[in-house]
Amino acid sequence: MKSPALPISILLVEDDPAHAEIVLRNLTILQDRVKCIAHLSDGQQALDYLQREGDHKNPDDSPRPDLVLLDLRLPRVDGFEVLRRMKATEAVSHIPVVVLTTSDAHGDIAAAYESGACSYLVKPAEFDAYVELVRGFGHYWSDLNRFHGA
Amino acid sequence: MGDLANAAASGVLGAGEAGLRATLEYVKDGIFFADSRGIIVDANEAACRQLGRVRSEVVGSAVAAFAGRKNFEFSGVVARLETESHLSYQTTHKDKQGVRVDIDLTITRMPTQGSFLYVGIARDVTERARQEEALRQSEQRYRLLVENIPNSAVILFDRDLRFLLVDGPEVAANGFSSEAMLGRTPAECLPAEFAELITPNLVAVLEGARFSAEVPFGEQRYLYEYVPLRNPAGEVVSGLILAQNVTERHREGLAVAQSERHFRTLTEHLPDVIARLDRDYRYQYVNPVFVAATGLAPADTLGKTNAGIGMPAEKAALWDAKIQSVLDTHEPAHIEDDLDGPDGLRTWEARLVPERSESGQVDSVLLISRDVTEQREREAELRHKNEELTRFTYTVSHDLKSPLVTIQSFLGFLVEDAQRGDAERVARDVSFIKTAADRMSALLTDLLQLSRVGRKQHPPERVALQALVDEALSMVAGRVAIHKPTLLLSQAPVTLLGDRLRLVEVFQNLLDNAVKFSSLTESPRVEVLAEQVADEVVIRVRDNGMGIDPRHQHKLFGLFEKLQPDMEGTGIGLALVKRIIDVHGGRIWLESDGPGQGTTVSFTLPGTRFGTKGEES
Repeated sequence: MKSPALPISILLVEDDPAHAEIVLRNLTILQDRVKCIAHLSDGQQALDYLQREGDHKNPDDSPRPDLVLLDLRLPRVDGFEVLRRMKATEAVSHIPVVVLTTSDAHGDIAAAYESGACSYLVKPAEFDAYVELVRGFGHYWSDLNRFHGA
Repeated sequence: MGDLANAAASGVLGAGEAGLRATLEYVKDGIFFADSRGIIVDANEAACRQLGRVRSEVVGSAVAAFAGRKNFEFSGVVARLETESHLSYQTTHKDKQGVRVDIDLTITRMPTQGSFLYVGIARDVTERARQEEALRQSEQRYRLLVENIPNSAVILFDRDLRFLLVDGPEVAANGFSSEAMLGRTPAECLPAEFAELITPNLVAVLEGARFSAEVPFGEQRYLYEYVPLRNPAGEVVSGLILAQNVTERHREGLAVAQSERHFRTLTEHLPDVIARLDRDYRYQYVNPVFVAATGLAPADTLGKTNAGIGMPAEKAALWDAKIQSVLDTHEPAHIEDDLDGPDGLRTWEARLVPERSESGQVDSVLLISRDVTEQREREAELRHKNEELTRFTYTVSHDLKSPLVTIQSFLGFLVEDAQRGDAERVARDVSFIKTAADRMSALLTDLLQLSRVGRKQHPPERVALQALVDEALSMVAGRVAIHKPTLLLSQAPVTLLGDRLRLVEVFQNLLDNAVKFSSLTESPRVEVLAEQVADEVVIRVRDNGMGIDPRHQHKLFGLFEKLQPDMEGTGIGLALVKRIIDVHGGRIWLESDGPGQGTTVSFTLPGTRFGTKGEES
């Protein structure tokens, strides 16, 4: 059992700097439970980080996250492709992926789950709802980690 | 032999009596001699045979003993022969076995020694009578037949065109009587016009022709079967007409012919392929559209199956199976198939319809087929457009929603930060809000621009490549002045055909991208090339910039797709270029050997060609 004192580590993949800051600011309130270890702004960088390739060859610079928070619409390689390739890579296929996106299209939701997403969250347009969502998400995953974490 | 011997002795029979006797024995008729009392004095073999008796029984008997009639008195014969040269009787008698014998009997007398010898010549006509009876019965049967065949008549005429026989219900039905016609020629007993009409036919029959012809008579219509009748020598001795009233049938035939004529008129003016196939899948009828579509003349088609007119075996089997299903189920069937023809491969949508006879049986199948090639192409295009529109709507809603989320969120943070009096954070929040609002504005502007491309264009004009490039370069002059790339611009005399403003936009975007992407290299270079490839001119805009990973190339023509998140612009440029090229009916594609290898965007436009002259095409 993991020590309750250790917060869960998150890899944030988000191309919009404003959206990334919204998530990061909301997470600061949960800093004892959730910690963002890296923020990458496109799908290719995310894959390079997870597969330790390109700019992220050094394992010390690319610690494995407990969770990936993934946007779907990303430059170069989109979120679906990141999901599929993660699930096809043994070293990282076990890492849960939570999709966080503005799209509420049924096709996207279905495709995300099909590609291996654990959860699908739609970014709310209202500030309070957004704050609520991020905090709820942080609590849920840190609690889950406490019960099931190695 | 008394009297006969006497006759010989008297010289009546003369010296050749033996020869005469032999002759009499060979004569087929019975000959007997009697004296004036009616006692037979001699008879030949044939006479004895007719009586069924031997000569010894006959000679010495009275003629009356053999007479078929009772009360026969030979004296009456003797008396009558005083004034008449001979007497003829048709008589019968029974022979010894009781069989009836019909006899034609002639009796005459010859003088002999002051008296007379009576000679009877008896001809056995039993066979003839029997034949006559048979003929009579046969004729009776024939009449019965002729009179009872409905709507018919039998007419026999001789070489002088005189009617020998006129019989059958149709004779009286038309107000004629055989009595009035027998022995007369058509001219003598028929309406003049009708007589004139049929006389040449009667003459033709007498010349040996056998034929049939439809003959109108008043309101009625007859089918005349003309038959020459010949004697054993082969000469035409008379002619026979078998007439049948076909008025009703003719009327039905007319109705059928008219209905068929209507069918043809219709099928020959419909734009669809129409054909009729029989139960053996053979073409019975093809309309002109079928002929045009297949390039096969009716003579090459009729009576043949699909395989017979050159359809590949597998397809023919498929079509034949469909035809069979219509024959089996009596239900129409559909089939859609791609078939090769004079106009290349076309898509045909066919309906196979059962044609029922009066008995309810399906004895042919009507094929109605339509070329749906263009329709299917348009449907595919429409589907493609719909998918594109769905993607577009999705992209737009996503991309517009994204800055909205930013604005809302940072307004929330702004309130919190203001309450805390954190001026630095407030400035940062406002900055995010402003960036998002600017982005939204840019997106909306771009969307508006994109939507204009698909709408009404300016009429196409022919513009020189150099003019377009120059105009586009002037619009990106700012960026060119900053990065100072080497410009290698084609001097080829190429002209493009299209909406001038849109074509300028194409080059403006492509050159802007090329300058932007090559700006990071040490000696940036931008080229515009024109090249004849096969039958079209390919225009290329090439840079020596960072290039594009082949894995990402497919995304670049999408709406708001950006390779570099930090690169300026909304990412609409290539989507806009692609849309303009699409609207002009051209093709566009992207080539790059990968990161660092530079990028080439190539496109073709219909009407692009070497040569600056404007008007020829």
